[in-house]
Amino acid sequence: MAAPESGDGNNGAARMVTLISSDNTRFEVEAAAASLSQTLQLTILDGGGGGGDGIPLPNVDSATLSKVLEYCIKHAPAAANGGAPNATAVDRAELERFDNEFVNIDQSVLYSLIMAAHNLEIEGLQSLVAKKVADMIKGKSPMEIRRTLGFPDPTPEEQAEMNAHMLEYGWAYE
Amino acid sequence: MSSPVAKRLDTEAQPLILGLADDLLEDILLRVPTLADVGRVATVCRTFRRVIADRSFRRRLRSVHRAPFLGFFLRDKFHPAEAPHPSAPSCEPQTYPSPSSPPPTCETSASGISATAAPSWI
Repeated sequence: MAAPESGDGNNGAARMVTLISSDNTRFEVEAAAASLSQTLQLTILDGGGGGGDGIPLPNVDSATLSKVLEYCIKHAPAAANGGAPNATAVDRAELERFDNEFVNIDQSVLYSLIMAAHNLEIEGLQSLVAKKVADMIKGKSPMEIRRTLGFPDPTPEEQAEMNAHMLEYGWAYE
Repeated sequence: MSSPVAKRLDTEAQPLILGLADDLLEDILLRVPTLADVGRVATVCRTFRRVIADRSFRRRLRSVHRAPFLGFFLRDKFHPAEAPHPSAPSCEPQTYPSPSSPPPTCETSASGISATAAPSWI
């Protein structure tokens, strides 16, 4: 018993691990969910994170970590059975709906998330957030992009550089 | 080698996105749907230009956006792609800022536009 399997459903409570954010908040989460992080997966396979110790994550604050775990918990079942085979169209649509809503958040949170996803090596989350930011950029003019991303108005010097660049790369403006 | 993910995070009065390390910016820029979008992003600020001009980024970008179809040769004559084709704008003859500027070569990078190819910085 107590085999350190990431539970794919055969009875008993799933194995739990504890994660500790940079501001010392403890999160208890199923090992299967935490294992979406390649970084954590290695620690967990080595038997870390159980019992009292917990895995410290000095680069991730509690607000970001709870958001990350929300993603992991939602995506863990699909990841466990390899994504495709058992997933019905309904499940996939539900995940997609979740993802769309999940990234509907402030830019500051998006950037914290992408850094956390990078640190923890959660590929799905990293590309989800990167795609969201890319979508905020697409089809916009440079000035619209600046406004969207919260740049201040360009200084005359910056404006001149922008004009020169636009002139040179005219094909991007057709 | 660990990447300095948060290297510029604390600089004030900066747009938040500039707090991201280059490889994360690259990740984002690789996901904008068209090369024209990448071109417009490059206009936005120096940081974006630097990231986009980087050789490793251009290589990654190339693997996402294949070289555009520019046209074909038929009986020794080159027929450029025409209007309904999505790559047609890249195929139109380009004009150069002044007649005295040197003709661009295939090696010309960010400083020139090559005559038939798409963006020379790719």
